[in-house]
This record gives sequence, C-alpha cells and structure tokens, in this order.
Amino acid sequence: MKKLLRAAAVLTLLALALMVWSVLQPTPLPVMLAMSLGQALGTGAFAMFGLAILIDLRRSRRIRRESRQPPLASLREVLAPPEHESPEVSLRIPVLRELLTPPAREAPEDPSGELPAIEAPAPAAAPAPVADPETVPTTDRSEDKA
Amino acid sequence: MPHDPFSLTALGGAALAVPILVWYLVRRPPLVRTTKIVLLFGIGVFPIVTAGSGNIAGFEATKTRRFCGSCHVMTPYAQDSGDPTSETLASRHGRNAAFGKDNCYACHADYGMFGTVTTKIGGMRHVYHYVTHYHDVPVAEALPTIEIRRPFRNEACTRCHSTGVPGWNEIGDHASLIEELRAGQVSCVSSGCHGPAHPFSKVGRDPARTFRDHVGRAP
Repeated sequence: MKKLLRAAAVLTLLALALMVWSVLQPTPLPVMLAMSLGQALGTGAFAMFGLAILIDLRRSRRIRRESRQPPLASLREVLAPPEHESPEVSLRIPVLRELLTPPAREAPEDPSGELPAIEAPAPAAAPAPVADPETVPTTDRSEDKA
Repeated sequence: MPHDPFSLTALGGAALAVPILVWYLVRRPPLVRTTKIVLLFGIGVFPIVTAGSGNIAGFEATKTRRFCGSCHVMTPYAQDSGDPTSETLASRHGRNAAFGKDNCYACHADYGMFGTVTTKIGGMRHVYHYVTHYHDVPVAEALPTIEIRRPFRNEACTRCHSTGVPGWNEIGDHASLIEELRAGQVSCVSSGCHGPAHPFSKVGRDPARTFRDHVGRAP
C-alpha cells in the first residue's frame, strides 16, 4: 500500500509538472500534453490514492472487528473439538482444562481426622467414542489427571 | 509570467501540492490519519484545483495570437495581425478592442453552439499537419504553399457585420450579391472585395491551388 501511495505521489508530481509547464509556456505541445497526458496521470494518481485508502480502511475495519470478540469465547472456539472428536481429547493442556471445566464438588472432610483408606481404583469407565484413532493422544489419561 | 487569475490559481495549487508530495516521498512518514489527510490535499485537492484552473487557462491560451504564432510557419501571420502599422484586413481587425490579442480566434473560430468544440478539433488537425509536414519546412518555403483547410466562411464575418442591417445593404455590391454571400458562393475576403486578409501570403499564388495540391494529400 505504501508503494501504491508513493507511485501516486510521483505520478501527481509529473502531472503537476506538465500542467505548470503548459501554464508558463502556453504553446501547442505543452498545452496538449497537459490536457491529455497530464490529466490522465493526475486522474490515475488520485485513483491510486483512493484505492490505497480503501485498502487501508478495509484492513483496519477487519482488525477492529476481530479485536472486539471476547477473549474467552475465542479461546473456547480455538480449543473446541472438531465435530468428530471427543471434548476430552481436545483438552490436552491441563491448565486450560482447569480454566474451562467447571469446578468439581469437594468431598466433605471426615470428622474423625483419619486419612481415608486408599481403595483400589475402580474399573475404568468405557472410553469415549473416538471416530479417528489417529487423533487420540497416546499418553495415559491417569497421568494427566495427576 | 502569466497574470490571469486562472493561471495564478493553477500555479498556486501546484506550489502547495509539491511540498506535500516531496515531504511524503523524502520523509516517508507512517500512514496515520494525519498523513492520509495531508496526502488527500497533496494528491487530491490541490492538484484538482491546479488541473481545473490550468485547463481553463490552457483553453484561453489557445485563443491567443501568441499561441497561433508559436508554430514557426504561422509567425508572419501573427506578426502582421499584431502590427499596428499594417493595413491588412487581419491587422485592422486585430486593432479592434473587441478582438484584441485573440484576433486569430475571433475570425477563424467556428460559429454556433458547438463552434468552440469544432474549432478545437480543427486546431488539432492543424497541429497534426504541422507535425507531419510543416515542422521542418522553412518559413519562406512554407508561406507560398500554406492554405486554409476550408474556404473562409462568410459566417465568420456576418456574425458581426450582419447582412440584415440597413447600412450593410446600402452598399451596392452587398445588395446585389446578398444571396450569393449568404450561400457562401462569393467570399467576403476574396481579392475583389475585402480580402485577402493576409495578402503577403498570396503573392504570386494561383488561387485555384489548394492544400491538396501543395501537400499531395487531403487535409
């Protein structure tokens, strides 16, 4: 766009030179050049200037529109799973997952003060349906939760 | 240096636009809102003022005797019509305050609503013939061969010297030839009447010869 504006400025200078020449020396050649080539150059330069401004306006409008969207919503959009993917699969970053998942209910404390006995882990629930096996991470989910 | 207001306005517009454009090209400022507004004046407003007033000044300049005489083969015509001591028809009209420095245009311009446009088109033809044929021809050689493209039309005379006024009809030759004059069959500037307007260019010339005969092609 800056090149366009610089070209417009140079063309305007040329057109002005032709016009000034025709005013200072009103003979057939300068007058004809000013009224034909000078007009064409000046009109072209102004059109280029208008085009550059239009491009700049559209670009700034696009940037403004993008910056108006709320950050969390855009983050959710970025992290949203594809339609064929399970929501859990896409939440690979623990920090983001903590931010975006609702807080789990805390278990009430035991009044006896004793530590709860460690129970054997329950059998794993049925895995979420995965359409494309290649998209499933290879890491163990129990490690993520830890 | 021109003194008419249109020329001065054109020069003023250019004088305002050029520093802006040079500043933009040399300093290369960031394209912020202020730069855009300044460039709008440098590329848009001031050049448009220059072009508008410069065009008017240019059109006015094309009417002047100086412009017509700027082609070297027309210099004797322009000099004679501007000579206050000359007794030619062109010079006598050139001394008329209503014609002034535009006396070439006043007589040779076409009449009517589009007279200005057709005159300009005809002027472009003159330039074409000058560039393609007479540009390198010496004045002494060109003078006996240059012909007006079309016979001089009586309308150019009668728009001022009306054939309807009593004074004009009191002259016997006018009254007897009025129909032929109006039809263009007899020329006001023929050698037997008021012309030729530029007699120095007609010395020893065969009046039957035309531009085509001299140049060898149709104008």
